[in-house]
Amino acid sequence: MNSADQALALRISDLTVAYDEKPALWDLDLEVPTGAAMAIVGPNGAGKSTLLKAVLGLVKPAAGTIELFGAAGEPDRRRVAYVPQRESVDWDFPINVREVVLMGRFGHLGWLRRPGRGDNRQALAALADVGMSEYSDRHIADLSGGQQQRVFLARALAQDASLFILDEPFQGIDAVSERTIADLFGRIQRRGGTVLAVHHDLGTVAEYFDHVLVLNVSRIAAGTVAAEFSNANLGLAYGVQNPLLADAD
Amino acid sequence: MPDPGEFLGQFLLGHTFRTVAAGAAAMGLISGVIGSFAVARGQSLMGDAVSHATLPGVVVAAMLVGVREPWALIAGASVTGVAAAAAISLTARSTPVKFDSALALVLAAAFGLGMVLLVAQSRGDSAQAGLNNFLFGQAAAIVAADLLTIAATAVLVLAAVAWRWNEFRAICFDYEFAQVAGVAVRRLDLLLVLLLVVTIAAGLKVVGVVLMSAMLVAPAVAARQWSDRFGVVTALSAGFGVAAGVAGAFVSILGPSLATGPLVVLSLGAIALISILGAPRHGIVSEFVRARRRRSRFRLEKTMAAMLALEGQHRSGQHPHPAAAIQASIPDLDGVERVVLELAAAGLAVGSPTRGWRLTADGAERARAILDERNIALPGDHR
Repeated sequence: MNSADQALALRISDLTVAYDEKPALWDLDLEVPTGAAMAIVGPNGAGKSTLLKAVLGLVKPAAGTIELFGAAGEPDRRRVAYVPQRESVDWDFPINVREVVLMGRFGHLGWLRRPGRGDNRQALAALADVGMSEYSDRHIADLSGGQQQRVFLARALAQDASLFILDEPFQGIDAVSERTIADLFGRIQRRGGTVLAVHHDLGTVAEYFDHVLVLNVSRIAAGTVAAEFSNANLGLAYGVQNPLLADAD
Repeated sequence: MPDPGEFLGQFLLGHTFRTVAAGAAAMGLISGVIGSFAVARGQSLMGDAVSHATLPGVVVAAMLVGVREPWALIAGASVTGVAAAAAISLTARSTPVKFDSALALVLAAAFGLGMVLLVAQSRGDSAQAGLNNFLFGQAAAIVAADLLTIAATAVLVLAAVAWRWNEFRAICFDYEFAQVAGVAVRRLDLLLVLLLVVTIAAGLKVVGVVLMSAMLVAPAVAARQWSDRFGVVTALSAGFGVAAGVAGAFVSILGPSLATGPLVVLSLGAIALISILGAPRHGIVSEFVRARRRRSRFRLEKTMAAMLALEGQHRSGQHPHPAAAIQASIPDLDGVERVVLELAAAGLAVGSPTRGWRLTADGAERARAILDERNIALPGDHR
């Protein structure tokens, strides 16, 4: 297949985001092909979360354009699902697992604004996909970190999205959850979906992702893991000789 | 001398009581609903600031239109209430001042302004001294026009909440997700603030600006103790509000100088206290009982494991050991003497203080099961 002919899930041109004097992202160009699973790696303060938030429309860029699914203009974000960092959620909120997953159906509700039987079915299917069916009536605070992450992934799945954006989905979770989430990436890709995730563990990039963006405010490298996930590129981003080796143990 | 029962019956059927009770109940209902959103969002104090900030608006409206126009007073209250909410949000968002500081600042400043206006204008016209009632409320003075206003506000607030229930809940739970999912977060956020302000404004006649925040916070906090689901919490919160409204109105007719508004708030306080203490899952009492049970179970298990280990050192097994010996093998757990008595009472150990103690067959089996479950091997155990 000729990769130049493949449609792009996301095209970013000249993106600059600044919270105050210092830019968080500078002149970033990025193309994410449809069906890719791309890891965003880089040191703290590299602008990884900022990039996700710009794509989601949560922060306003100072300059640049973001095109989703090959369409210019204001992007249709209902086709974008977001799994936020686990720390950003209020776990004391009175809500159970099924209700959280049902929220994924918001973009599809009719004018009565009530989820119907079809929405319920889709939510339960998404819960089954992440192996959390038996927890559907539990309060979210009763779950382990990995289970919480899987519930939020189920909410994203219920959304029927084409682009899945995740902020450190593997942070602080158990082995079973890690495996489940990694498997789901594969299934999303096979269905033609695209995954874009901030990822910290350089040791598992090649295992879970096929594309990578090495970022440090500006783009250091982007492309397939095979071509661009190199010590040279990582060294440029992290400012150390051999971050892959330094990271292991 | 009239029969007190008959007297009370007449009062309960009386027009005044029904008006006051209906007004207090309707206010309890909507402040319970709106309060559950504010509390779930961690913005309990926003209601306090907004209610204090309604005072200048009420006073100015009364000066312009007169104190007998409930709609004008609510409009005035809403204007300064919204202004205060906006000032707090803007200050917290776009200056280094934190949310709680911004809130305290706006609350005190707006209330101060209200007091200045109140004192100034009541000197000018003593006939309008009725404004004092807005400080602590005067539910007993509720008339048909007030009741109509409260009822209309209640219908409006409940309709809006029912209409956008899912979106409101999503905004409170996970704002960024709601935004990405296509919820018009800014507009609905503003609507939620407006509902809060209108609820407060309508309730001023019942409980006044000072006690209003309790109407919002107490039922929601109480309800949260009983359920982990937002829908149930909101419904319970509304129910508590209604119950407290009726209770406050009822108690206030029992004596000549009992203020309805403060009694409603007191009833809510009692409901909250009972809930925090006694709720089955989150209550302090059940939490305490659970912790006690957990601790005593671990003490039993640990003692049984120690006895099994001691008995395993004898080829013959089933050899009794004095409590002191068992205690010596688990020095970090005190009161083993009492624990073996409990074990004996449960049929898991036999013996006496003089002959020493050993596990029964049942007890030994249980002890092995416990060790297996926790993946602990006994010393010298090579199974």
